[in-house]
Amino acid sequence: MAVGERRASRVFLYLFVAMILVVTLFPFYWIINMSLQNNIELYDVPPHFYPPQPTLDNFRSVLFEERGLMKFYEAVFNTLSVAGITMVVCVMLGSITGYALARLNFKWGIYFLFALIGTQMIPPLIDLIPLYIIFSRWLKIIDTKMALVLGYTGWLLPISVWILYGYFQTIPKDLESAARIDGCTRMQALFRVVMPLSAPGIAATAIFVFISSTNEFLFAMIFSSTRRSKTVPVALSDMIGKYSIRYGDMTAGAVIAALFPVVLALIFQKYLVKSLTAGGIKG
Amino acid sequence: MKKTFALLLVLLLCSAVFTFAGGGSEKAAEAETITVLMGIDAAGKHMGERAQEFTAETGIKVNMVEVEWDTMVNKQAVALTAGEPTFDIVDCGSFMLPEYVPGGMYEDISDLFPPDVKATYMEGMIDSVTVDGKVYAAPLMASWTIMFYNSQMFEEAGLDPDKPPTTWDELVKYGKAIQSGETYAYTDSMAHGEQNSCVFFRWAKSAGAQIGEFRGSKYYWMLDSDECVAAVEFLKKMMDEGTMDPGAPIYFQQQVADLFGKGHAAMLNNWDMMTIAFRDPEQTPYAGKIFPAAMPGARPGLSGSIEGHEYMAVPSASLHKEAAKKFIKYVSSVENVKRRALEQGMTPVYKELFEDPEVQAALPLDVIFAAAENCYYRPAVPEYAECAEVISTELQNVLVNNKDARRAMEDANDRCNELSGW
Amino acid sequence: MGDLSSRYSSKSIKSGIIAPTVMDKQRFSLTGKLEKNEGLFAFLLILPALLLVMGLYVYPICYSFVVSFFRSDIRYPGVVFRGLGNYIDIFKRPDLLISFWRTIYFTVVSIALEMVAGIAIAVAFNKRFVGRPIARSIVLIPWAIPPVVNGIIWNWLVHPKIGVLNYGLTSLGIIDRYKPWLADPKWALNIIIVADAWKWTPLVVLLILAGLQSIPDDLYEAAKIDGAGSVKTFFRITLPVIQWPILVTLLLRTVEAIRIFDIIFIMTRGGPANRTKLTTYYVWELAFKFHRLGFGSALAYLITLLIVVFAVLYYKSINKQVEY
Repeated sequence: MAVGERRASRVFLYLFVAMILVVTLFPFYWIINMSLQNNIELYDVPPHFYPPQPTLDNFRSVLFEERGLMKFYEAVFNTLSVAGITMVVCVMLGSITGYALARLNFKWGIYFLFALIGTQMIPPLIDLIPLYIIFSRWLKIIDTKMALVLGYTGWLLPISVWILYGYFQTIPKDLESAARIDGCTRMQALFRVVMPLSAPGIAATAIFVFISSTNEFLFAMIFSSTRRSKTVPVALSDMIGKYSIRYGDMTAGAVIAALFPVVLALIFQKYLVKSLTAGGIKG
Repeated sequence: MKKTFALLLVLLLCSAVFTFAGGGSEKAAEAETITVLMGIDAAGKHMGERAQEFTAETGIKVNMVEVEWDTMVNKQAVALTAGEPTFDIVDCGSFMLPEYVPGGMYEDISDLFPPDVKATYMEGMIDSVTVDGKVYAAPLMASWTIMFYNSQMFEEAGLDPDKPPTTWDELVKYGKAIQSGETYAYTDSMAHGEQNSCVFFRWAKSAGAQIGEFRGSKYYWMLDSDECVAAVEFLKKMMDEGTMDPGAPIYFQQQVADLFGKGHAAMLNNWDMMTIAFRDPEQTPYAGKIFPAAMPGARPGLSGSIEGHEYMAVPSASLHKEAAKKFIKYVSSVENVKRRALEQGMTPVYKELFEDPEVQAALPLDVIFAAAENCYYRPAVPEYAECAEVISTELQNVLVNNKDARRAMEDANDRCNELSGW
Repeated sequence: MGDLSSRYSSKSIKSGIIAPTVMDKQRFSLTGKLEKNEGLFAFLLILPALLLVMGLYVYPICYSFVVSFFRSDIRYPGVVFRGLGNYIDIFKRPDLLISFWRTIYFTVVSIALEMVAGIAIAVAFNKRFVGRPIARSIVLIPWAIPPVVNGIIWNWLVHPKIGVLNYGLTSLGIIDRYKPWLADPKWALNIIIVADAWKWTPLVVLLILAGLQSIPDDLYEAAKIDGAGSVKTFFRITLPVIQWPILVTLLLRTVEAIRIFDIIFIMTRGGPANRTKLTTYYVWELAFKFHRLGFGSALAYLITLLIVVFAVLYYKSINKQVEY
């Protein structure tokens, strides 16, 4: 490529990235904008593009006032712990399951895969009542974080397996064979060779499971009731009163709620880089 | 990578221990615990305190679950259909009775309402939750819709701030004086759903329509009557002429009160308990200038309203029915009802409280009673929810799809009667 | 990180002593049996997942499937077997059938938007540029915002009076009066599509980006040397390798799009005049609001059928794994 062409394509790249960031951030900037205004300014016409009298009142009220007999930070804690544990379980179980299906040859593997994903094709709405019976009558864990972790894992595990199955398939078999020839057991080969190479896939799965758990609403709405297990999405929806919506609290809560997954993504995204071993056999 | 992973794992294990350790201790309760499911707005700010007072008095612990209304309805539906004893008391409206009573899911609590007790309640409050002579729910608060108007905006438009419109024609006349740019005379919550059907019922009533009647145990709808069609046509006319905010078909109940309070419209129909909210300077810059009034009718002497009383019911799957009934009695004591009236503007359910001077000062009782006289009672039949949905759809068809009002009402009527078994 | 083979050899030096022991163990222990028997090892690996998922789902799926053949309505107690009655009734209701078409429209349009935008962004974010880590994290924000808030914000943005959209359009002179967008039957569903696509594109970006990491730089180098332009490189090299992530993402999003409920509930409750009432919303309404559980379940299984059809179509049209 000629130098001029390369520069043009760089410019184009930066413009594209900038445009994407603007589109991505605009609604979020609006949320932040709203969270810093007071109740009355919010309704001015034309709308304010920046808060005329910025106030942290909304943040203070959402964090420290009780609403629905709990404080918002309790919901944040619930969500983070549930999401975190679900993430670890899904990544661990998902990896070993995905690996088994990708590497080890057994005919019924593909049927198992389809069965797994098949459970997800049914709208969860109609499963609610039998699930409620399972959780309430048989397991007796209604309104606990354990119930949420269990439910979310059941929901997200099949997808994690599918994602990881795909990534494991892209790792050349030769690397593993080399490892085993050198005396590694299967488990060692799995943990020392395959996993590090699939870091991008694992990171992606981890982020996916975490964020999906923090966002989930239907299951949390039905299965959590009190501060013991109420999650952020449900707590935010409680700000919708029958007669008015507390926009200030809700947007402040949303800003807080959005921060955690983003921070997590910042941590994990360094694994979303090419592993240098792709093609390393030849080197 | 290993180190980060190990660190994360340790962090997660710690939080897992934290998480699950915390949950277990709830089970070691020697005292009886009842779980109460209530909508946040019905509970108000002080229900938690009442619960604590109750515990102090009786030793029965109360696990309050306060969530927003739709969530409450969903949770109740799932728990009761699954037959689980999760909740000992649930929040409900009278129209929910026909959904749960046939299956025996609400407990008969007639013993809480012997005739002398029943007589202390407002007319009709206990009757609307009586099925086959048995009472299935206890009144928590009464509620009707009334109109509110912004007297400051009236003054600024040159209208008399003490004389809100009483007929449709006056409403339009006032509208023409107030309308300007993006300010409208009237706004309403006509988003698709139950609130929209309520709007229809109110306006049909204020047109003098009968809407429907019970024939035996089935309800016969009369939605295609001239009055009903007139009401729908008037709504459309208001929207076209700009008297009513054209955004009304997407406003939910929650949003419309806010918009009104901030001065985007001069008149609004809403629940009576909003009287208190409209006096709060943090909610509205027009605090103290917003007054309640009766909804205008097609002709002088007509008005329209809807009731939204909230009740407490005891699911039959509950394992703590006696304790639940004690709580209901506590919360329904005259003293507590009076507190709710004064602190939160919730219309009391006892006749004697209407004579109480403090209550009279806090609430616009004359307007509320006028509304009660002209109120439409939503029929307590199992298919009510589906009929309401049909009505809302057809009303929206008229407003946004330009469907002819008469045809829309006829279609609605046919479908509703079909659902009702005619 | 150095070259893998060399890193690996150092480990084998350490484990050189272990090797003979492993060989001995093979004959006598479970781990030994595992080494020999691939099938058993595989089975043990998938056992936890199998137990968890099946344990949680077998009962609910059987329950709801059986219920779909009955009239199950708490308002009318009594068990009434209806056979295929519920299913047939669905076809007698024009509003339900229309909702299927609208659901398909919604699915196709929003997924097309998400996939095209997502792949483009992933490819762009795969190249090196200043501030890339921050950009990658920022782009995930829409997805991280809880759906309730997403719906409310978009409601706010397109609000007839205080919405930025109206303000912007009137300032630019495109429209002269504020317009209640969500009340317009033509626009309501499309706005929901935009809101949904905004929220989910980051997921596509994430999965495709991870998939792009498995393309070795050598391939790109080789292509450049051979004189391939960037477009050709994309279609010949990039696209085939990310087939599996694309399939997964496509399937994931299709399943979610066909089952969409939250955002419709928050933004329009199915209005105006049922225009945005997609099929899964009807399932909720029928099963929970109207308590017609049997009928709702039947509808849900028809939705499942639709999803399966899409899934099979996707799977057939994407070639199997590229082995290299």
